[in-house]
Order: sequence, then C-alpha cells, then structure tokens
Amino acid sequence: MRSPALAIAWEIWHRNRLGVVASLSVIGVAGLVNWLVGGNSRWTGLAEITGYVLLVLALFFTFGCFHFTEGRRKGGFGSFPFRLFNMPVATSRLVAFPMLYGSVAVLTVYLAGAWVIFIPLGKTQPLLWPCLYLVCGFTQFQMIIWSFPESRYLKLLCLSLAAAVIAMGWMFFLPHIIEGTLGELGYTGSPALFKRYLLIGLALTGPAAFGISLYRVHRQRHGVTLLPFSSFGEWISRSFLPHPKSFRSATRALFWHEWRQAGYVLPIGVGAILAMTCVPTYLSGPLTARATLGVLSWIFLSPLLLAAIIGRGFAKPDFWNQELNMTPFNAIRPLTSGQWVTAKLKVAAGSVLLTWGLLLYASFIWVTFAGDFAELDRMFRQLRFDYSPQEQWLLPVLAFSAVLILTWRFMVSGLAMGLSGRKRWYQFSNLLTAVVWVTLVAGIIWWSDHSDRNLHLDDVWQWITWLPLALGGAVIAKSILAAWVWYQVDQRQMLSRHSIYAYFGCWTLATGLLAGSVIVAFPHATWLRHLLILLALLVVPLAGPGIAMLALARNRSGS
Amino acid sequence: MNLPSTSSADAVIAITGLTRRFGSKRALDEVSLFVPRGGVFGLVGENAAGKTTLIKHILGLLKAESGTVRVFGKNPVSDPVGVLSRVGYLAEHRDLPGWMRVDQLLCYTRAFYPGWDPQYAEQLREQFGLDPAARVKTLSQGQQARAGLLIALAFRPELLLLDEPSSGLDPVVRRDILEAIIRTVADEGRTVLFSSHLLDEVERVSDQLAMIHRGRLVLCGRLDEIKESHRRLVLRFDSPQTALPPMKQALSVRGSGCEWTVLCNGERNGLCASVQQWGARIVEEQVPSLDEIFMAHAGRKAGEVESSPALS
Repeated sequence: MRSPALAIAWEIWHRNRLGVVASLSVIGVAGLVNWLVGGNSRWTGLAEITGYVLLVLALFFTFGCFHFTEGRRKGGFGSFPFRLFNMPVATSRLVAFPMLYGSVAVLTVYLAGAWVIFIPLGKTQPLLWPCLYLVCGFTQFQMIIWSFPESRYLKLLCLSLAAAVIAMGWMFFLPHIIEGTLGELGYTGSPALFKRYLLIGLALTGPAAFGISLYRVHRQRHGVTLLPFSSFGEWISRSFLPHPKSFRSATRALFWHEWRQAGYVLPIGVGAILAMTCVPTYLSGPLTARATLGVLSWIFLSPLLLAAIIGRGFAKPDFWNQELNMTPFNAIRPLTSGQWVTAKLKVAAGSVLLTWGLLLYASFIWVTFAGDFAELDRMFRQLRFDYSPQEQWLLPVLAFSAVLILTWRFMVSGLAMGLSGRKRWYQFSNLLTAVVWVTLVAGIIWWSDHSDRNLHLDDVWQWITWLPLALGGAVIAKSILAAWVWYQVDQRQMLSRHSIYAYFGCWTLATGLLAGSVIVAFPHATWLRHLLILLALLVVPLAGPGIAMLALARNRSGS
Repeated sequence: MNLPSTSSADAVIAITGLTRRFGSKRALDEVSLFVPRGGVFGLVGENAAGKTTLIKHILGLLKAESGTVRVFGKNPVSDPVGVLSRVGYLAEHRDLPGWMRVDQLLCYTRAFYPGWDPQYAEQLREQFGLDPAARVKTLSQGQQARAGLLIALAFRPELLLLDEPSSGLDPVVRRDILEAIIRTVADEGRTVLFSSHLLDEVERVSDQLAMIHRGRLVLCGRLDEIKESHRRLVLRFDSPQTALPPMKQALSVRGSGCEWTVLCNGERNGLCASVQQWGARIVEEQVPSLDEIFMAHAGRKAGEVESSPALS
C-alpha cells in the first residue's frame, strides 16, 4: 500500500467485496431479466416493482457493508475503529476516506440500478435528487454511528429518527406530493422553489455530516468518548431503571439482564416514531379526518414493522454485539439453554406490552388534541352496523390481542437462527426476511395502484384454491416438528416439564385468540375464515422456541 | 507414551484422548489429563499452545471432537448446570458486561450461585478497591480483572479455573493478592487450575504442573518431582567435540569444543553412566529453573510426551 487512502480502500473492499459483488450481481440479473421482458407490456409492471424492490435491497445492503465501524468493547455497539488512531494519519483523512468510499459505493449501486434495471423497461429515473439524497442518508448514518461510541440507546434513537426521516423524506421530491401535501400543510410558495431549497439543503448535509463526524472522532482520538450530557443519561438510568438489591432466583436475574439489554429497544423505537409523527402533525394545525386516519394507521403499523427489524437483533445472544457466539460471561452461568430462551421470550412479551401501552396512551392523547374524529366515527358506526352488540366489543379486544401476538411473533421469529451462532444462516435468514417484507410492501402498493376496485372478495378464491392444502400440510409439518423438538428438549432436560406445558398453554391461548378474532371478524365468508384459522395455527411459533433452545445449546458448546 | 496415572476416580477433571481441530490446525491432539482434588494445578505453554482451548473444553464451551471430558464425573456439555454451579472461572479476555455497575454485577452473579458468600464478596471488593457505583466499562483493565476474579471466587467454588489471571494485574496485586487467594483456595481443600505463560508465577504457586506444546501434553506431574527429575550438566571432554553423540535423556544441548551444557531428564545414575560412556566428566550439576525446562521441552519435537518418574 502506498498511501493511507489505498490502505483504507483495500480494507473496506477486502471486508465487503462479497457484499458489493452480490449487490451488483443482483442488479445485473434484474437488468438482464428486464432486458428480456422489456418488450412485453404484460410483465412490465411486475418487472418495474421487482426492480424497485431489488434496488432498495441492494442499497440497504450497501449501507450495511460500508458503515466502517468496529465493536471496541465487547457488548458494545460499533464505533469508529479505534485501532486507526495509532496510525500516523490526520483525523480528517481517517474520517473522509470511508465517508467518500461509502458515498461512491451507494451512488454506484443507485446509478447501476437506474440504468441497468429501468432503462430496458423504458423508464427513466431521476438522478440529481436521488444521488444527493442517498449521499445525505449515508453520511448522516455514518455520522450517527461514529458520534456516540458509548451511548447505545442514544445512537439507536438517532438512527430511528434518521431512518424515519430518510424513509419518508424522499416523497417531498415528487411533484404531486409537493403540490398536494405541502398545500394541505399551508405552504403557498412555488413547488419548484421548494424543491430547489431542498436540493441546496441536501447538498449541505454531506459537508455538515463530515464536520460533525470529524469533531466527534477527533475528540475520541484524544480520549473524550462521553457526551456532555452523558451525566443526564446516567441520572435517568439511576432514577428510572430498576436496580434490584437482590434477585429471588437465577431466572429473575436472567430476565433482568435480558430486559436491560434489549427490553427498551422496541418501546424507544416506537416512541421515536410517535414523536416524529405526532409532534409535527400537532404543530401543523388541525388535520382532516382522512389525514387523522392515515397518521393513526402509520402509528399502529409501526410496532409491527419495528418488531420485524428489531427482532433480528433480539435474536442474537447479545443485542448489542455483532458476534453471534455467546460470551463466556454468560455461557458459564449454571443455567440450561432452555432457561435462556425462556427469558428472551418473556422479555419480548414485556417489551411488546410496554410498547403497545405507550402507543395507546400517546395515540389517545394525540387524537384528542390534534385529530379529527369524523372518519373514526364513521368506522365505529360501520362496526355497529356489521356486528352484534357483543361482537362490537369482542372484536376490538380480540384484534388488539392479535396485534400483540403478531408483534411478539416478529420479535422472536429469528431466535433459532440468531442463537445458533452461525453467521451465514443468520445473514441468510435476515436477507430472506427483508426480501419478504419489501416484496409485501411493494406488492401492496402495486396492488392498490393497479387492482380493480370492484373486485369482490369471493373472486379471489378462484386463484387460491390450492392454498388450504398447502397451509394444511404446513400445519401438519409444524406439529410433527414441534413434537420431535420438544421431545429432544425434554430428554436433554433443557426445560422442566411444567415450563413446557406452560408454553403449550400459552400457544393454545394465543392461537385461540387469533382464531377467535378471525371467526368474529369474518362471520359470512366461510372459506376465508377457514383459511385464516389455518394461518392462525401457523403464526404463533410452536417448534421455534424448542429449536432455539437446541441451537443455543450447540452454540454454547462451540459445535 | 507415558501419561499421568492419577486415578480418574480421584480426579476433579478427567480428560482422555481429547482432540480438537480448528480448520486444518490441531489445537489439541490426544490430550489426556487428570487433575486431582485439592491443590493448585498449573497449566503452562507458549501462546497458542492450546491452554485456553483445553479450559474451554473443561467448561463445556467447546465440545470434544474425539475423546472425553469429565468434570466432577459429569459431562460439562450435556450437564452444564451440574458442572458450572461448582466451577468459578476467570476468562483471559475480560468480557464482563460494561453497562453493569459493580454492585449490579455482584447482585446479578449472586443469583446463580446458592453458595454465594456475601461477606466474603464484600471483603474481596474492599480488598480489590472496587467502587460499587462504578460502571464496569469505566474500570481499568486491571480493575476488570479484579472484578472478574471477585465473582469467580465469591461463591467458594470447588474448582477454580483461571485463564491467564495475571494479565492486566500489576505485580503487587499479582504477587500479594492473586497468589495468596490461590493458596487459600487450595488450602481449603478446593482445586485451582490456572494457566499462565509466566513460569516464575506458576513455580511459586503450583503443586502440580502440565505443559502443553502445540496442542500436545509434553510434561505432567508434581512440580517438585519435575524439577528433581531434570538436571543441567556441564560436561568437559578431553578433546574438542564437534557434536555430542545422541543421548536419550538429553532435552537440549549447547556448547562447543571441550565444554558442553546438557539439560536432561532422568535418574542421576543413568545420566552419569551415559556421560562416562562418552569419555566426559561432569564439572557442574544444577537443578534447572522451570523456565529452562519449559524451553527445553518446547524445543523438542512435538509428540514426545513425558511425565515425572513418580507419576509414570
């Protein structure tokens, strides 16, 4: 290596070359497919939406590859690689090179996607604002993770806020959004001028992120890692977090440990989204009835979305550690793997309850002060018209139980992979989950844009006659797998029989609540009701916790 | 191949034929080791010799690819609770949770061990000078080592495993506290197994010793017997020699001309007979230090396993 710039470039490349090649390959394959179907108008819509999904995934993956952080302390979260501080290189260069390389990589992926995927379909993508927007997003991302090496919750909060802004902000560059939404919010100026201001703002965010990162990394290089308001965080921790003097049992101690590690992550994430959504909409003045419903839908959807993302980290033995192996500190405690997994399941349940409690309280306050009840009132009247008096009360209760169960399910769905200690399996399952989610969201958007509004629910049945058979087979397979797994858990004495029966009881109750909500919600469409009952049997994990226990036992013994 | 013959029935740790590979590298190769109840057992070897891998097998943090590991007669992988509730462990790389405060660390760890002695824990905390309100991440490396040692000791485990306990500790703490604790634990009839590459430390504290070199056990026995069984001989020949004839007991040979120094292992009479056959005479005879014995064994070809005469 002839220069530090080349050495850092080599390090980043060497560490992430597989990821970069995979991202570009995905774009290449998508481009090839689009080139082949480009002339066929029947497939163009599907190819376009698939292209967007793959491009988003490739960009997401590139962000993950180029963050340029390392875990300095075990159990910590990534920070700027401290080992580089020993090198005879100016801090400005240490900060600039990774930021520059990451920005170039993100731009390369976007431009490759825009040309290779969409040009064969005859679609021209905008270049200026998306490029500026991506560079802005990437530099903010690096700035946040480099700036708070010791404050993991603060880092998570800032990342949540930034992710929410980045996920929503791009819409303000779309002409119809500028003209429509800004008008509703009281903006009376020229849309073109607004866009120009946005572009100038975006262009300034990169240098600003570099400046802040340089300041923070420079201070870290000279031993100042704590923030000025760290003592405030310490005060919050001392005053509001539980500090038990002693634990009545090892399992309670374990629950406390897991709770302090990851129990607050989902409530804080949802809290950030609530703050980002409720405060601006309250300040912007009274909302229309439709806007109130839209905001409420977004708020109520956020725990599910966040649980699916946070659940990937929650699945690891240590939420804040990039490694999947159990640390010796935890592994040598005289507890079975079953007790570890049980603690995680309980922490997930507690976290979900706290999150939804917070959300219900905040949304009630928000609707009272900032919302318009007209649309909600119409929905309630519809509910009274469609259902009997008992069902009117039963349905919201069951539906609320169902969202609690679903949120919990998303939190614990990756446990078997995360606790296995096998990085490839874990990464593959994360990728698969991301593909499913992005496809689902993109599919819903595409469906809402292209579907026939007059399509009757019963018309769907003709396309999915095979589905009950597939779901039935999956239920049988799940039952057989669960029987085998729990037999193994019992034989290896990972969990007491009492606890195993207790979990079966919980599973039956949760599945019953899901099935009950389906039965009450769809009293007339028999085929749909039966289909959803089958789905309910699949939703709550039955074999999953047992597999997680076996996987953790293998991880613990280095197998 | 001579292996230590301590009965596995008396042993707190009984390892037979343990082999472990990481990729193409053999980290442990047919290791058999029996650690008797009571006393201090030192495990020495250079870096990457396989000491930590061996300790991880004892804790059940690694599963034996071949061979068996029994601790208190139990398999630590299939019965982690039965084994780990009786074992205190200080890891080489301190991995204490940085977000906990010292008092929380003690409170948390206490919950797992019914035999936790709060008075002893408090006494150790004061002795180690640990502030209960301090966060673990703000402690120095030495203080973290002390905190780790505290939670490994406070429930008075039957078996104490210390993996490079000295790393991070200053000489005063190492000599005055660590060694005193190790001796106290052993004097109470409990067992201490500790690994180190600081041979003078092992020499001061250990009753028994095992030496690992490139994954193989090259020496095992009581420390005094190991030292007694080794001799450093200075030989003088009447005429200059270019090389010495092969001698079974010689571990290392250096010198030139008429004067040669040989570090050898075996009974004194046998050594004298060999020397006489060469036509040389012994002009000086000393008991070598453990450091010299270690260097001599490490310099030999891997695969030659020996034990002290008393154990073989």
